[in-house]
Amino acid sequence: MAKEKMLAVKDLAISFNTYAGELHAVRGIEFDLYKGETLAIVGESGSGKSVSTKAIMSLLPKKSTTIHSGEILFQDQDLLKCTEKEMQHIRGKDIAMIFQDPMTSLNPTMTIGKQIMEPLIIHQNMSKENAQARALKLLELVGIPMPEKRIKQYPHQFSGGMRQRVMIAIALACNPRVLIADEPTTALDVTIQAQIIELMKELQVKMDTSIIFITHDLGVVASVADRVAVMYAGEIVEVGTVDEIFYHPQHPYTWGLLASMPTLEIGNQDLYAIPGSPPNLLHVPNGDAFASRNQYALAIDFEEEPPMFQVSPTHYAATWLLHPDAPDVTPPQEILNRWAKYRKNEVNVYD
Amino acid sequence: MRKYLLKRLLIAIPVLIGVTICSFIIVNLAPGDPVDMYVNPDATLDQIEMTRAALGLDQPMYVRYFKWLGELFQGNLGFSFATREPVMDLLADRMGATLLLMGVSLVVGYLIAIPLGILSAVKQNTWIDYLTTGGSFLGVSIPSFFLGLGLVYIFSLQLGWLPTGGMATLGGDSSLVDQIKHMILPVIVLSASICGNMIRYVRSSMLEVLKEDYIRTAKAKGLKSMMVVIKHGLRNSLIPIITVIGMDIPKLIGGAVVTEQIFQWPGLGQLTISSISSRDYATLMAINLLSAIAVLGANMLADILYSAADSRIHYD
Ligand SMILES: Nc1ncnc2c1ncn2[C@@H]1O[C@H](COP(=O)(O)OP(=O)(O)O)[C@@H](O)[C@H]1O
Ligand SMILES: [Mg+2]
Repeated sequence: MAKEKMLAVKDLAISFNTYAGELHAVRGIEFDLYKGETLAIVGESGSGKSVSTKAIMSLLPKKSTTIHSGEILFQDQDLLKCTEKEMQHIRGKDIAMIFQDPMTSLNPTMTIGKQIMEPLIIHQNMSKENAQARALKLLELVGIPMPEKRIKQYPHQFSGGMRQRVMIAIALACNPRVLIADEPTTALDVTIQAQIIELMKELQVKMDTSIIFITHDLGVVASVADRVAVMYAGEIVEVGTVDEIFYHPQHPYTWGLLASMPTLEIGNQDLYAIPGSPPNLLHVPNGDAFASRNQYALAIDFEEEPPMFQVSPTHYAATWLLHPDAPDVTPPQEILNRWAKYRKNEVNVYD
Repeated sequence: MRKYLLKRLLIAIPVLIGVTICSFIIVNLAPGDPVDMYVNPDATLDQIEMTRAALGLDQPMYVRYFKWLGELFQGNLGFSFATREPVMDLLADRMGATLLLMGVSLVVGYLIAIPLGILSAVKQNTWIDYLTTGGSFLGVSIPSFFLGLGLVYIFSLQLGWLPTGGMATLGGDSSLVDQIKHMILPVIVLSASICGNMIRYVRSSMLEVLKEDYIRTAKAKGLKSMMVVIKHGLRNSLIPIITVIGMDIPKLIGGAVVTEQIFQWPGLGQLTISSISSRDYATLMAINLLSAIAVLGANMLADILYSAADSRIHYD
């Protein structure tokens, strides 16, 4: 893995001012993104994945958002200190984003050609003719047949998968250094999902882009990511390479996520479900936020938040179980059995 | 699209006939006898009957209606009870004045309302928004007679800057400047309510659109905020606005009865009032018909505009 850092997020904490009170959506997260790699961020919905990445793009609502602490370093500048104007030069050019719902993320009243040309015209000062020529190339690149005809069409004339390809073309128009994909395949059905992931992997190699891939689906992670960060209640609870997360997970939450992942063999029957529900981010409990759902919770979990323990140079997890004084626990047999099956199948489940 | 419009036109015919039946009944059932208006107070019974026959009022209502309808299909709107002129000429005379006044008021109202509505949405919950929303409520809710009389009092009577009414100075040079001076006050009165109404629609429509995912996409591309609003927001917020325009346009014809009356603007609105008070059934029927046509026409125009604004909207 190349070790040139593209993006470094440090101690980022974000809250929203809501009618119900202060909602702590992101509570001190840290991660790095290296050149050319794909970092997957996984976690249940509401765990703060979108908020963290919107913060990178400075797309959070200005009025209700408070950034309590943190740095987001990109090319030696702290994005959190950038003005709106400086961010406009970075958005869409150096850092681009694709979103979950391709059905609503494109402007319904503008041809897709114009929508692809827009970033080229604003960031690269391209003439209309050049931008159009480049847009045609991009459409071809993302695998849209008959680009000359398609470029003049409106989003409603495209299927969901095709629209997501258009979104990818828009995002990649200016050869961004970083691509943030926020659940780009969640709204698509499985075959299309696999195609889009294939396309992203292919383009990543071609363009040497770093990708942050957000998903709540571990199955997708196995096929796209180099590294994985697991988020829970606004914190990263475990981070490591794909192999480390899938084969040597340390955090009970990661265990639960892995155990609840459907595979082709097991299907959706009899899936393990993590008991309980995530904590209310308006009143974050003391200690480990996962403690109340954690069958392995220790007394200290309810009092003090666990720090990140290092497991390997690339693998960290925030659980007291890694403390030298902690008792030895193994995940329950049922979960181990499932793992045994995943391990046999994982590689060919989604590939 | 063409087929759709043709279908709409065909449906419009029975609708219009229905409208004429209703208005014929209402006009005729309204209290007051037109004959009273057109005979001397000391006329004999014979004279009265003669006048009644001359106006065609001696026949039963349904006979009169079918006669009127038959004439209509030959392009004849009948003769005004009051002036004996052909109703067609009367309308043609007044229409120009109303179209001018309403057209200018609509354009002025929209030109002010659309940017203000957008600004208000973009700056939601700031003093600009509060000021604009407050102003628009005032514009909608202030009665036009009150605003009209207030303006006349201040600008005509106290300051003497502008004429109190009419379209041009009698015996004046009928220059453009003179005409414009006559239009200023009635246009202010009419565009106040048009503009106030429109601001609220533009604002709420724009607020809805600004929440959409594609607006976030546009921001993520690095577009300047103003470009996001204008290039991606405006067109998409047009659809509900077109509906309002479709409802405003019939006013072009119906005229603003009260405003025309206050400013003695010789348009259809004033004609409506005088026809009602003189029980001029023929003219009233023609004005009703014209208004109904305007409503249906404006609806069709709105449909055409919808599909022009949004390629997803198709008719067949
Ligand atoms: N603009 C906002 N205002 C208030 N709360 C928000 C806002 N955006 C997100 N949240 C809250 O922050 C938490 C994390 O949201 P998000 O990052 O979208 O979760 P996810 O991991 O599913 O992407 C959720 O509880 C969500 O309700
Ligand atoms: Mg999300």
